[in-house]
Amino acid sequence: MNKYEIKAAYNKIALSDEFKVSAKQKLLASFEDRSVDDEAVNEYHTPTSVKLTATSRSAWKTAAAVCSAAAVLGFGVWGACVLNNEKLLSPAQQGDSADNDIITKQDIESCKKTLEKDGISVLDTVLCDLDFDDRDEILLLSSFGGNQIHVFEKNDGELSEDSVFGMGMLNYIEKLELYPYSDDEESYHYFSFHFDNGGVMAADVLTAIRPQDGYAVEYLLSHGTLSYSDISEPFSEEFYRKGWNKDDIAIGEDDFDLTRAEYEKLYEKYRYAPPLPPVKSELLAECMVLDYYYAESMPWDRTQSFYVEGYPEVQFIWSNESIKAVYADGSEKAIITGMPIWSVYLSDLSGDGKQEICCGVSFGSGIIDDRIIVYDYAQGKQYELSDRGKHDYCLRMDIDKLIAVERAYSTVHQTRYGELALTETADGEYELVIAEQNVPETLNDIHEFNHYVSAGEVYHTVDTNGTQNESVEDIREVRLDFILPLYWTHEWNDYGYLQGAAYFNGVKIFEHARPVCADVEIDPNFLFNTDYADCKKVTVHEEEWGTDDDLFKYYIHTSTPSEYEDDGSLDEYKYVVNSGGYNITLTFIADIGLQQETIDSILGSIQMTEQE
Amino acid sequence: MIVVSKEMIGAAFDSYSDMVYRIALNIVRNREEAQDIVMDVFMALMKQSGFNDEGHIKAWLIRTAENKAINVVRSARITKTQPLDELLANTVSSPLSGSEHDVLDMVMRLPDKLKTTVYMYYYEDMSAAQIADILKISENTVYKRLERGRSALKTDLEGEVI
Repeated sequence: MNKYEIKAAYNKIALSDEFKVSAKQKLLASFEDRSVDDEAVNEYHTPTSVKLTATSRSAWKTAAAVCSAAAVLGFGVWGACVLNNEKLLSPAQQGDSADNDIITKQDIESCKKTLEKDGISVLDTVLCDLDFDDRDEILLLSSFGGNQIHVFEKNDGELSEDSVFGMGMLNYIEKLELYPYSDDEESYHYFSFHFDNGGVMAADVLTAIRPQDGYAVEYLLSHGTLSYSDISEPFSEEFYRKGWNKDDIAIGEDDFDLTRAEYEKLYEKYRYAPPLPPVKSELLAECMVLDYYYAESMPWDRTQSFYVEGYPEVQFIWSNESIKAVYADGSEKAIITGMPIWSVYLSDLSGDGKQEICCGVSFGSGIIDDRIIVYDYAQGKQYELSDRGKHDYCLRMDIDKLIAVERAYSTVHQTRYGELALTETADGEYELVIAEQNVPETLNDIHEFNHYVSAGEVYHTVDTNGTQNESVEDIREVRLDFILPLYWTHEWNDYGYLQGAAYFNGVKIFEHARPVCADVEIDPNFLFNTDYADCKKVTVHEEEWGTDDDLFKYYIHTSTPSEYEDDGSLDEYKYVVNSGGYNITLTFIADIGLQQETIDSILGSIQMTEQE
Repeated sequence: MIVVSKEMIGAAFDSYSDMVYRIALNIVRNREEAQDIVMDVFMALMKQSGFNDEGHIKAWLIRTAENKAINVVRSARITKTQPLDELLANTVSSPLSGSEHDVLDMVMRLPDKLKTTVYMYYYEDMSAAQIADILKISENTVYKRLERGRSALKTDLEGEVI
């Protein structure tokens, strides 16, 4: 590869002439109207979800984009009809509406010209009584950058454009179907539509409508209140699983993830991801089977089987809502339930030589609390650590201990943490407690905890497939779940890990950095820099506090971390120099105002020490 | 001093819209998002009062395009980048050769911070000093990025300049 090949390749990347003409016209038109604000531009790809008031005449003005899309299809109950640029009165217009508010072909052409004057081309035209006032509105699906639907209304013979919705890549809609669904508490309607972007991309989209503010689904449907996810990605067979992940595709704040059973009920075409391979845990005294508590997403549709030491004949199967014991004859028994079960660890808390199943679980609706449930399979007993409404509890793994973290209810504030243990009470029963309790008074003392994996130490990792590995590295590796909070770590997250930036072994760990068990698709021994979406492996050869006052800490490591420092903007308190093939990172706990000469002197002394 | 005017906007769009698009596409790897960023950038250009010279306009567009693209990626508005083949569908003016396809694939896999630097150096023929000035980083950083870019690309670039 050479420079000219790069040029030749990039030369072929260009905006289409059609886009250029359209965009330029729009820009120049906008220039004359400086009132155009950023929102108008940013409306592309903006999910829209709006609710209506009960009696508002102009309720559709705020209806969501798919409301328009639904109208495009002429969905029967709404009396919409596809016009395809031909004059055609919808049932609504065949009623008693005032004659001067009946939409004519001239009106449509007028609306189209209004858009085209601004360089916006019209892809499709639809009449629809969107707000059920017995008068149709004109919906124009247009193309400019992203596609949009413009809604025109005719009042007293005057046409006015009242609303515009971003429609992403939608060019036209082929079908629309509704799926009624209800659970114990609420009724929903799901609608699915298929769209095709000129053969380039096709997708089925499933979204939902639910009662809002006391309005029944039927009412909201009849008034065109729907929600829409504006989607700009190609879809795979696993789309539905992904699509319902709120983090992947926004479907409104109040929407939710579906369980497998709900998928089965709602959409037959949905395909399930295969179960994860079973975890062999017999080698481990402490074992994490899975932990999605602090993951960005939970594999709601997946199951994971595992075995517990001492019971090779029993297979345990985790799903988000239960853990079942499956016996050789095929029979099964639910031993733990939750809403959901976030994490599963195996640990011999009772000291009988057999592992208990330890879970972090959420319970409740409305008031949802997190608690820890331990199931002693040998005794068939269940223990619980909970304090509903006052404290939440979750599990996390330390190097060789299973740690319970207690937080004030529904906050990130940790009140205590320590090793999870079963202790015998005065009446001979056992109860679940937090032993060796610690209360983090300040963050300043946390660096003293030994979260490092020492040279030659055996430790265990779990990769993204849930497979456990035993590692006997002769040099210590940085693991994300051993992130060391230092002075400048400003906040814990809900789950006992760092919320914001922290420095560990010379690398800045950014917000959203996840531990290995968080189902991120990276190797456990890689540090993940979310700012630039790259991850780097780092080997630390030496780390030491620099002075008696611990004003700074230095690390000698492989060269990779310096890549994060190359523009000097990420951390003004960190300095990196190279010494004999290793980088030395000098990290200050705060801006202590050292002069460059002083810093150079410190770094120099470290290098000299190394050379000696 | 170049005052922002309708004519200036039109001329800048003619001259630099493809450049802005390439920078955005490099980072977001999503055609529609890149098109939106083009619009975003030029809409933002309208709100500027003026520029010192043509180079100033170009520099402003590059930096703005990069920032907006990175912001889009960080904001998780991009949930998934498009496969290169799909990305380039309807984007290239003529079919890519095998090596051209490989070039773009490799460049687009670079860390975001490197992409624009590599693009500016190898495509826009900018010097390290110019790139440093535009991106507000040191020349040394530009060299480092180029070095890292070259290393990542496993290039055998003709005419090593740095």
